[in-house]
Amino acid sequence: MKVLRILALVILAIIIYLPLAGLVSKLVALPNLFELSKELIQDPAIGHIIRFTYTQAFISALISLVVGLPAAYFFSHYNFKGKKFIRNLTMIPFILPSILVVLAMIVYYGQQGFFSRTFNTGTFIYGYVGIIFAHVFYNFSLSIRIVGGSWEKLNEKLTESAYVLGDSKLKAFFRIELPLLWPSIAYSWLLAFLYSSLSFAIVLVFGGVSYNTLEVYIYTMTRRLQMDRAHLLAFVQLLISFFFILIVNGVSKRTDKVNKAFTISRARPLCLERRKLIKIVLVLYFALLLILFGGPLFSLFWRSLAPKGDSVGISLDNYHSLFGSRVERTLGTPLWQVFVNSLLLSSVSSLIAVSLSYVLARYYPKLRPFFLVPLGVSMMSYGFGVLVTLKNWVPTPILMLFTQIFITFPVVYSIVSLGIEEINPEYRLAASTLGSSESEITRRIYLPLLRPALSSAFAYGMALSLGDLTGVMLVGEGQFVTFTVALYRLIGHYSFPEGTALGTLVSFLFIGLFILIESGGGEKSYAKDRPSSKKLS
Amino acid sequence: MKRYSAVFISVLLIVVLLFSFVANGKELVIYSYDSFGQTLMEMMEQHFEKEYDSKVRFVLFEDTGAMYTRLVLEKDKPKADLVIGLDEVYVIDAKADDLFTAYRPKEADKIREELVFDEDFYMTPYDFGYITFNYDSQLLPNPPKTHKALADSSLGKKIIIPNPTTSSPGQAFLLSTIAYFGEDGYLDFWKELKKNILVMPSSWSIAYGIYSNGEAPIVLSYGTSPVFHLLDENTERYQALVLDGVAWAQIEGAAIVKGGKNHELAKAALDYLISVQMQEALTESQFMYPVRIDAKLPESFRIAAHVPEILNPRIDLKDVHDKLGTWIKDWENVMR
Repeated sequence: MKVLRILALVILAIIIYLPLAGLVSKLVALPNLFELSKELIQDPAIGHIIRFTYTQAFISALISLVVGLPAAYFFSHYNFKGKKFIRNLTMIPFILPSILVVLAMIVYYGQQGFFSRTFNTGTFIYGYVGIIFAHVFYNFSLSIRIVGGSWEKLNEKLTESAYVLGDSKLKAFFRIELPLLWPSIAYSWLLAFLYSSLSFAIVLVFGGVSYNTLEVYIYTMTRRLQMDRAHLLAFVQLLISFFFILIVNGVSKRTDKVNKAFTISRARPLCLERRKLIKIVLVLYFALLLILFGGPLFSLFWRSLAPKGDSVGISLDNYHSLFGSRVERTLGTPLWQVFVNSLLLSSVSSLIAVSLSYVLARYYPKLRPFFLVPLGVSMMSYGFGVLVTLKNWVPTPILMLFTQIFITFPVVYSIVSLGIEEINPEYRLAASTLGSSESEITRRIYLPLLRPALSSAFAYGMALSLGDLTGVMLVGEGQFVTFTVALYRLIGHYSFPEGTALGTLVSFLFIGLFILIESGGGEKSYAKDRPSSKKLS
Repeated sequence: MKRYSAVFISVLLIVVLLFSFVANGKELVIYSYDSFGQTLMEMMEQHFEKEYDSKVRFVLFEDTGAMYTRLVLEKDKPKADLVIGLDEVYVIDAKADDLFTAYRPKEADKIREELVFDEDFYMTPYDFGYITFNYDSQLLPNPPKTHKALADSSLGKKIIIPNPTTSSPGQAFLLSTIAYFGEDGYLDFWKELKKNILVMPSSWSIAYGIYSNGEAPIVLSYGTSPVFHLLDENTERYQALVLDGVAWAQIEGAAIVKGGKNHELAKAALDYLISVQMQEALTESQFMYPVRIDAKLPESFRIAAHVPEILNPRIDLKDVHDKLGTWIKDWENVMR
C-alpha cells in the first residue's frame, strides 16, 4: 500500500515539478539574470501589469462566488426538474476553447448582439466590465459545484438546533453554516482567482491595448523571441500565485471536530405547496442566470443552425458540411476519430487525475498547496519546461497524459480533497477498530461517500482536458487531432460556422454524458441504506 | 485497492498501445505550423513516396513562435530537416542564431524578384498574402478607400484589427503604417484611427470570427479572404479593401535546417515546394499567392484584393528587427 502512495507522489512530482525545475534551471543559468531582474523591477509598466492582473482576478473571483452561491444553495437543498442539465450547462465554458466563449459573448452582448438589441442596452462588454463579466461567465460554476457539494452534506440538525435556540435563519447561517462551508468557499474563490489571473484572449478582446495581463506580456515576449524575459516573468507569476495559494490554505484550515458536522447527501424534492416563496426566488434566480449566462451559449448553439451563404432561416447546412469531405480534408482526420481521440484522452487523463488526487489527498493532506501549483503557471511556460526535461525520454502517449493531468489536477484535487476532509473521521476509526483493512476502508467508506465529489472532479477533469490546445499541440505535433485542435484548424481555414456546429455537438455530448454518470448508481442507495448516518450527528 | 490499481495499470497499458505508432525507415521531417494545408502535405508525401521511396513526417506547431522556439532549443541536435512557414521578419534572427543552411532552389529564377527577401537564400519565399482590410458590403455599401477616410470620425466604431503585439497580420499592418507614413508619422495616424476601432482581439481567428458574425463591417485580414466566401458560400458580399492602393505583403519562407539528417531530401522538398504544381495548388488550399511568375491563379482569385504597390521594400528588414520593440512600445503608449 505504502508503495502505491509513494508512487503517486513521484508521478505527480515528475508531471508538475520536473518541468518547472527545468524552467528554473534555465533561469538560474542566465549570465545576466541580475541585470534582467533589475531592469524588470525598474520598469513601471511591469508593476502596472501585475497590479491590473491580480486586481481584475480578485474582483472576477469574488463576483463569480457571489453569483454561484445561490445556485449552490438551491442545488444542495432541493431536487427539481432540469437541475442536472443546468448544473452541467454551467461547465460548458470550461470545455469550449476561449475563441468560442468570446464569440458567444459577442454574438449575445456585442453592439449587434441579441441581448443588446432586445433590451436596447447598448454594449457594455468592451472594457473592464466586459473582462470581469467574461471571467464570471467562466468561473461561477466552480462555486456551484464545490460549495454546493459541501452544503449538501452539512448536517441539517445543526441549523435546526440553532433555530430551536432562537436564532433567525440568517443568524444561523452566519454562525453555523458559513464557518463550516468556509474552506469550500475559500477554495472556489482561489480557483476562480487563479484562472482569471491566467486569462489571455478575454483580456485582449474585451480590454484592448489599455489592459494587459502578465500572461499577455509573457506571450508577447515569447513572440519577440525574448525568451529570458518571458521565463523570468513566468517565474514571478508562479511566485505570486503560490503566495495566494498559501494564504488561502492558511485561512481555511479546519479541525476534525468540525468535520463531524458533515453527514451524507440530503437534497430533497422541492415541494410546491409548502415552499412557495422559495420556489419563486428559485425560478427568478435561474431565469436570470439563464438570461445572463445561458444566453451567450444558446446564441452560439443557435448560430450553428444558420444557413450557408446569403439565405436566412434555420438549416442543418453547417452540420452537413461538418461531416462532409471538405472538413475532413481541412482536419486531415475523419471526424469520428476526432471524437474518439478527445473522449479517450480526456476521460483517461481525468480518471488518472482523480485516482492520484484521491491517494494524495488522503495520505498527504499537508502538501495541498504544492499540488495547486499548476494553476500558477501558464501552459506556455510549462510547455517549455516539458521540452527541456521530459520530451526526449517519456513516450509520446504518456507525455500527452502528463500535460492533461497538469492542466486538470488543481481543480480535480481541490474537489476530491475538500470531499475527503468532510468525511467524519470517526467512520474510519470505527472501521479500523473493527479490523477493516485500508483497502476495505477505501472501498466501503471513502469511495461511496465521495461519489458526488469524485464525479464532479471527473467532470471538471474531462472538461478542462477537452478545452486544451497548447498541451495537445505540444506533444501531439498536429497528428493527434482532438476537438479543440479540430476547432482551431477549422477556424484557421475560415470555417467558423462549422466550428460552432462542432462546439454545439461537443457541448451536448458532454452534458448528456455527465447526466448519465451522475444518475448511474450508488449515491442515493448509500444514503438510505446506512442507518448509522442518523446516529452520528 | 489492489483491484483499482490493476484497473488503473491496464487502462494505462491499453492507452499506450492505442496511441503508439511505430516509425521506421528513412523519413524527411518537416516542421510547419497548424494552418499548413492537408492538400499540400499529401502532395508532398506522395511525391516523396514515388520519387525517392521515402516517408515524410510533418510536425505541426500551434504557431510560428512556438516553431521558432523549438528550432532554437534543438539547435545542437536538430530533429527537423525542413521548416515551412516562417515569415520574412524571422530571417534576421534565424541568421543570427545560425539555424539554417543556404540553398538556392533549382527554379529560384522563376520567383518574383520583389519577394526575395534574402539574397543568400537562407530562407526561400514560397507564398505570400496581402494584408488588407475586408468589408461586409451588406452592412457597409460605401467603405472608406484611403487611410485618411478610415480614420475619419464620421465612420464610427466599425473596425476590427487583430492585436499587433500578439498576431502576425496585426503586426504586418503596424509595419505597413510605418512604411506608409514613416517612423515619424505612423503614430499620428493611429491616434486618429483609435476612435474607430471597436476591438483588437488576440488573434486573426477571433477577429475574423467577430467580423463574419456581423459585429462590425471592417476587419483587417488577407486580400484573399473574399475568395473563401465565394468558393464555400457562393457569395460576393465580403470584399477586400485596399487603402490608397498599397498594402503590406506577408511573405512566408521555407528553410533547410542546419545539421538536419536528410540534407539532400530537404533540398528536393524545397525544390518541389517551388514547382509549378505545388505553387498552383497552394492558392485555394492556403488562400495565398504563389511566388512564381508563371503560376496561374484560379478563377476565384478575381475577387481577391488588387494591390498596385507592395509596401515591404520601403522599410529595411534590419530596421524591423532592431526597432520593432520600440515601435510597438510607442504604439502601445498612443493606444492606451
